[in-house]
Amino acid sequence: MRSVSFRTALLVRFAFIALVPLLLLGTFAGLRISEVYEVSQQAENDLLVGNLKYHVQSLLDAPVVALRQFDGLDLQSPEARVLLDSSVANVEYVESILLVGSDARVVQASLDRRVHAFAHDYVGLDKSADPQVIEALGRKRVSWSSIMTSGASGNRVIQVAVPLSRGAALATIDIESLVEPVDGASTDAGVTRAILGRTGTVLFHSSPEISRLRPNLANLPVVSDARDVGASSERYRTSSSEVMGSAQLLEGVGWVVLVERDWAESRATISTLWSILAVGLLAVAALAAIVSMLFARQLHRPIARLGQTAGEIAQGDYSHDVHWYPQREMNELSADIAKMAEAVQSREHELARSASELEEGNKRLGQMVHGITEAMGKAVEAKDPYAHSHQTRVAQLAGALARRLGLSEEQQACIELSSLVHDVGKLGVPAEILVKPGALSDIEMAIARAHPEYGFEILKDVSFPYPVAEVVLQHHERMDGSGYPRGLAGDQVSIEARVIAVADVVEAMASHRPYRPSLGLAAAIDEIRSHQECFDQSVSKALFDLYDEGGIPF
Amino acid sequence: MGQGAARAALRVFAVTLLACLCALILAGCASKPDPIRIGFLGEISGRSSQLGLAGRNGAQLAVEQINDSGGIDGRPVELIAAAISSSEEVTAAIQHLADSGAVAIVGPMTSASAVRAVTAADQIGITLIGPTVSTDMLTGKADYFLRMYPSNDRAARVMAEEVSSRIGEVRAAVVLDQSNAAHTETWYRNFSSAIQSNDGSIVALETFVSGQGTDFTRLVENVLRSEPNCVLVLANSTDAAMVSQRLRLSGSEVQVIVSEWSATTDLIALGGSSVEGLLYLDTFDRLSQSPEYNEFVDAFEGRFGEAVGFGTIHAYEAAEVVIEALRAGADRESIRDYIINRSQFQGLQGAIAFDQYGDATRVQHLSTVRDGRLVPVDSP
Repeated sequence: MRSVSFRTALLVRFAFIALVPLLLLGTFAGLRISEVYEVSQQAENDLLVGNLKYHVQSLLDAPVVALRQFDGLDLQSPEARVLLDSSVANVEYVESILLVGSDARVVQASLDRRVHAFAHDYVGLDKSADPQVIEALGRKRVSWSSIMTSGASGNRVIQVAVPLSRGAALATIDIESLVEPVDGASTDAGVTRAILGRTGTVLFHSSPEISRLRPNLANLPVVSDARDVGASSERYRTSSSEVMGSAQLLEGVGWVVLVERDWAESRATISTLWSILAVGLLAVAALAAIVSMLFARQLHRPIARLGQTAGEIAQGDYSHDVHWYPQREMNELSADIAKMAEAVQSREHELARSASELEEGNKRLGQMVHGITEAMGKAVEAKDPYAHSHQTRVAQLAGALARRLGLSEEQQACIELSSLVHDVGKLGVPAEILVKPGALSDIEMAIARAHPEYGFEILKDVSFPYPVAEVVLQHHERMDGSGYPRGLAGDQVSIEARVIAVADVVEAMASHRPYRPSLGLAAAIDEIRSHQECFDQSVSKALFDLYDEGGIPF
Repeated sequence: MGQGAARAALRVFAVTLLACLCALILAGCASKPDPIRIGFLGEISGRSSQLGLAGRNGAQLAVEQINDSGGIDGRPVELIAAAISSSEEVTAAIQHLADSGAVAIVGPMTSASAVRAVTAADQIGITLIGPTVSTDMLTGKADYFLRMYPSNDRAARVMAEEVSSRIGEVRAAVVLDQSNAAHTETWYRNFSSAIQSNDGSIVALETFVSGQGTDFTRLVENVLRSEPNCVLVLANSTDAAMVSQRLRLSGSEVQVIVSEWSATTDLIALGGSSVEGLLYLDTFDRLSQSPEYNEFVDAFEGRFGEAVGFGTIHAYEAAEVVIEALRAGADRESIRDYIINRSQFQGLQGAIAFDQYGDATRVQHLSTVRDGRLVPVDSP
């Protein structure tokens, strides 16, 4: 199983808890931005189109107010004549005014503003089929015509009829002049304004190119909707761009005012909002990551510290202080670890004491073994006076050789212990044979040569820590197989036995014997040198080196 | 190990982000096939805009209806209109429509614009179908101009015969608006020769230019001085109404004749009782009971909230002819030949037949104003 660090696990969980809802929230907000922005833009558009509507409405109201002045007047009177001309003069976009009697015949006509003549053309005309006059006379209400072409000027005009107590007044309004103030009003960049006639004629558009570029303006669903329900706002594509359009109907005259806002700009704004949101999300995400990291670290720190303490305790450092942590569990854990360290320490002390006691016992036991062994050696020497101190001295030399050879401590100890008792088997050889001067008979020789086997028999049941009995058995074996009792050769002879063999020969020759004087150390060395095949080469070499250095202990 | 977990977290983060992005992109994409474009050319603003708007709305309705029924082979149809405010702008407008990918153009609406338009259409190689162009200056020519409307030589002849049979020896005075000379002058010429061959004569000719401050009182005085028994007014409805009003105010009961150009609802609104009984030739029967026609009238009034006029009807029919040809697989190069070779198309009131020059012939009804309505003379 893969394991994850506590800190990483914490970090990942915190990050998830913080980031996933954040991302979901951010995405949701992002998806809603366009919608929310669209609503705000629509509200702004509605405001603009409302302003435009009231502007146009006020322009359209002016001639109606002018026509109402004729109410109550005798339409054929000179006052009516004067008022007629001053009215045309006062409202600059009124082209002409006709006063129509109750019989729908024109009673008086103003001069035509454009051509300054031909008022007489109109007097007497039958207006009984004129829908505006019919409305004004029959239903007593203000009525607006569709867009028409002026017979006098050829301009696009609209007519409005206002009911009077004794007939009606009919004004012809020049559309171009009417919309001029609208044209003068400033427009925001990317916003166009339009006024559309009842049948879709573009009466005004703030972009002069529009009638060429978008002659279908009046067929837009937003315009149709405004005609049906009074006001409408929607977003749509034109041939060249995407716009947010808002339209409102001017009651009575039936015109529609339209404000269009280039959506490309709004789209750019939305992108900016998106970018801000994205950057904000990233920033918050980064912040969340950092906070998570700090949080994880704060939680992780006491654990790491406790872990470190545990490590130190494992290393044997029990000097653990109880730390204070902000978390109760941590404090308890820390106290528990301190208690544990204390317990471990006292247990260790106890163990150490037992160990030293044991060591002491062992040491004494070793000394005892050594002592007993030495005692056994001395027993042999008591029986063989010629062999006085022989085993002790062999032990000294063999020990020196073993050290020289770099043998293990165990081997050294084995060699030393075995040396001390190597001739213990002589206890089984009759004293007459041992002390007999001169040559021994074959039988006597055979008995004398049985001493390693006697020694083995004596020692074999003693449980030395080392194979002392075996070494004693082998100490007269030779490398070339010429030794006794078993005639072992080469590797069959243990290293301990080989060392003792050399030391035994050298000590025997170099020592005085009651039956002869010492042959001298040099002769002993020569003896070894001249019988190298009998001895281990490395042991011989060690002997020669010791001799050359004067390191032989006797 | 810690790195592994961090990478896993990063992966989940990336996948979430990607999913959000995908959702956004998918929401933004909704492809639809490229539309087939039909051009419209007409005077949408300016003095003749009434006819231009009527035509544009008629063509627009035809396009909306085909789109409602699924388009042409699944492709939507788009009407792109090039508005002109006077006949001088025609050449540039046709170029603009051709550049915008129009396969054919419905329009222009007036004879004056049509005469200019033919040269440009021939050069570019784009077919024009004039809904209401009546001038005989373009009759019998193998050009890129097709017409839905009969040329006025026949109309003038029929009218001359009708008047002669009603009045006997005709003494006709003519009032003529020079601002649409392509229509009015050819009409006048054809009428003049037809009257003379019916033993009648033209006793006066008064011309004016609409919108230039004409003194109609004097104009009518001049007309009446020659004691005509019939006055032919070749003018727009406003001017024709004015002439009629002044004639009746002068006490004259003379028979008034107008061309179909004047025969709009405005003529009645402005003319009142003075236009009762005048005569004109109509290319459609306004009282027709034909279901196709009545469905069309309902659809149009429902959509645009205005009454149908002859401009509306013929522009609608012209757009229908173009749509029929496109349905049959015609493109910009082949549409003209397809229409001429097929010849027969169904109009709103009976068949339309194109001859080898792309000129349509159709039934014309002698019509009048009765009780403030435009009706066929022989209607009850």
